[in-house]
Amino acid sequence: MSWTDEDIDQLFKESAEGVSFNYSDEYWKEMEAMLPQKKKKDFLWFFTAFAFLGLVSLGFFRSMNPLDGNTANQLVAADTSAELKLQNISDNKSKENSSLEEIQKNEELTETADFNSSEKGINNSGEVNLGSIAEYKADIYVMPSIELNRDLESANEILRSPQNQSSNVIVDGTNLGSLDDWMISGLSTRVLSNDIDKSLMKSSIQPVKNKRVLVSPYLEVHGGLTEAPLANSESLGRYYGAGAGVQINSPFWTTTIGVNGSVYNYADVQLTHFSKSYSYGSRYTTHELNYSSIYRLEGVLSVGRNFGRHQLNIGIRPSYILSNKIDYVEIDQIKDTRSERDVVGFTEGMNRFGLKSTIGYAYSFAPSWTVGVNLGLQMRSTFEKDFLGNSASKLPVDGQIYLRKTISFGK
Amino acid sequence: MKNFKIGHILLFAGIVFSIVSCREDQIDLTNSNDPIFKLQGSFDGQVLGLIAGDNNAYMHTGIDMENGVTVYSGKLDNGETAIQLSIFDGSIDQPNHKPLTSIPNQPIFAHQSGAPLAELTKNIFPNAALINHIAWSIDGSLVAMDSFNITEPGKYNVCANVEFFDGTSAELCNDLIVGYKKSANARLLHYLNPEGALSVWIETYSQPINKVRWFIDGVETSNDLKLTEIIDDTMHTIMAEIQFVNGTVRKKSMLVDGALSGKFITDFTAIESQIAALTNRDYNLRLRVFQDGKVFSSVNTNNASSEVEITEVKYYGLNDLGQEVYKLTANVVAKVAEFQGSQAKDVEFTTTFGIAIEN
Repeated sequence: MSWTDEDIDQLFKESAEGVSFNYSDEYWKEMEAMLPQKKKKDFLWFFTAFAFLGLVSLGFFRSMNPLDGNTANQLVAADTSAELKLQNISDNKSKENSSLEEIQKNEELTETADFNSSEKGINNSGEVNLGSIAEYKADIYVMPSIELNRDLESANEILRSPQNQSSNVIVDGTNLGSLDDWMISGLSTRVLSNDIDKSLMKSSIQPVKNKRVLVSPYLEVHGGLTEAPLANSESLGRYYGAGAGVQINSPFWTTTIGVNGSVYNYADVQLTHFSKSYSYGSRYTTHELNYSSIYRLEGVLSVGRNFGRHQLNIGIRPSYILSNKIDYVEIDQIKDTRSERDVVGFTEGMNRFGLKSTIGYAYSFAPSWTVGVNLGLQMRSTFEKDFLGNSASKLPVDGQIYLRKTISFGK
Repeated sequence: MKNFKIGHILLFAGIVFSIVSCREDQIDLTNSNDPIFKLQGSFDGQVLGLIAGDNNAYMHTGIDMENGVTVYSGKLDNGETAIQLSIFDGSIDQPNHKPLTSIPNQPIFAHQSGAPLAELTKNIFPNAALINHIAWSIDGSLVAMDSFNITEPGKYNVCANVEFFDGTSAELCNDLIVGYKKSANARLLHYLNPEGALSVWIETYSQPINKVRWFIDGVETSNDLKLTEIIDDTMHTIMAEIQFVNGTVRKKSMLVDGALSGKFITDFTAIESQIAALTNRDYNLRLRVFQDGKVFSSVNTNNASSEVEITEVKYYGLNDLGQEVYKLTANVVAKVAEFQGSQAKDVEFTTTFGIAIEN
């Protein structure tokens, strides 16, 4: 069934001419009993947590919706915020209730008692100001095509019961018709957009984009396995370390900037150099450099797409070799002598600056805890070509697991 | 609180990282290089090749003393064959000479003919009639009675232990330089009158004297050019340290008989110039070839027509003894013989040789 302008006008007319609802204290008391009790002390925390989870859920479901982003956004917004909307409506009603009580005390109650129409929520005529709904929740806005869900229906019943028979929908002072047409379950699934002046709706109710960005510092510990940077190495290296940085969170994206310090341990990353140096005689020496540890400072730059608690990310990690530990063996072939010693910080022949590309997955298993895995590919050889001797370099792939805790400095 | 603890852990990790990154040990990864000291040529028609560092060849360098003269040498030896090049010092009567800068680009080979360079006999003394015997000692070793010929160039400390006619004896020692250039020279002459008035003066040959220090029995007595003293009637040793204007320093000694009985011993260094050497050995070269247990030397044969050209002298470094070693690049054409009169063998090579030289 399609609504014509005449039909809507008729509805508005009937509603306007109808008797205003009869105010009864019982109704308000009944409503008040159904409203939440007084705000508790940590209401803000609950609200924040709820909002956060809501946002995460929004992000997740939004990404699952096949519709285009804008439409999906509208749907999700209406869908998930319906309860909040009515909560707000109820809150307003509650506020107004207390005001009414005062009016009752001071003035004689009349059925036509009229509230200031600029007050957001439901006025004394049972008219709902949708503008107020939109403004209560920054990321919520209502479009005519929205299908209200069951929560909205049940909430509607509250509003509908005694007095909403003649409630009208007003947008910026324009009466759009009966509230029933907008909120009652029987009509809630109807698409009204075809019959309503869209220009009016669009001009009066503009989507409010959520520009909220959260910056959270974090600390992390990590470890992993890595291929050796030399082709002739057979065993995997291990590495571990810690890091710190910040996460810049928007509802669907997380940008991570940080720095990690890591110790890479290898079992068989060995370079062998032979030299014959002439002087009065000659010295034929074999130098065995077994790189047992490499100490790296790594920058973390990644961008992740959030899917609720899940996140997929890609990034790059520029790195700098701070130092290393080498088990050094020097063999004098002529004198047939062998000497061994530990050498620290001998970085000759190493490309101290490196670059690694990463792809990762993270899961937020608690409000401030995240566990994740990264797969990285070193894009620059660890050793200079001229320093490799008979060995060949390799761009190692590594896998990393990390545990990250975001830090909040107070509320 | 948890954050605080985690922060401390990270701070500790950062400090550890910083400390670790501050330490920088070094490894001497010496790169391979080309041989430094080498020799390529022929000896007696056979190919001769030696490279220090290959096939057990080693470049030995050192500074030796031969007959009181410094010899700068190097020996490239692989255990079977060795080539030794030596440069004899020169200007040995000048304490402050610079051997390195004095070596000519085309040095000549030293030659030892076997002919006497100095003849030590009692006849060199004017009072030979009063002398029964003379025991000659060179550098502390008794070498002969009455007569001895010095055939090798060198700087010798020669002592004459003289037994006089009455059985008494006295000893006089002097430094003799033979076979080397004397940059300046002189001899002591004396006169003693019956009253014991002694006069000693210096007869010079070429260079003027800058300073003289007179010692009587080891005690410095005068700095005048002429010594005048009253002495008693015993034997006295007079020594003059003569510093010439050109830097030459010589010491001359004589024995004076205060009793005027004729038992004096004159300054016998005059024999240094008694026999004129054909060639002095200053900065001469000596080539030795060691092969099959034999030693062939350039001094044993005539190398008048041999050629040595030093194309480069460059400092290389210190040897194990802390001596300065110079790298000489040279072309050598010479003859060597095992001993005097034996058949000479041709040797020819191009070399970069190490020789330790005082600078």
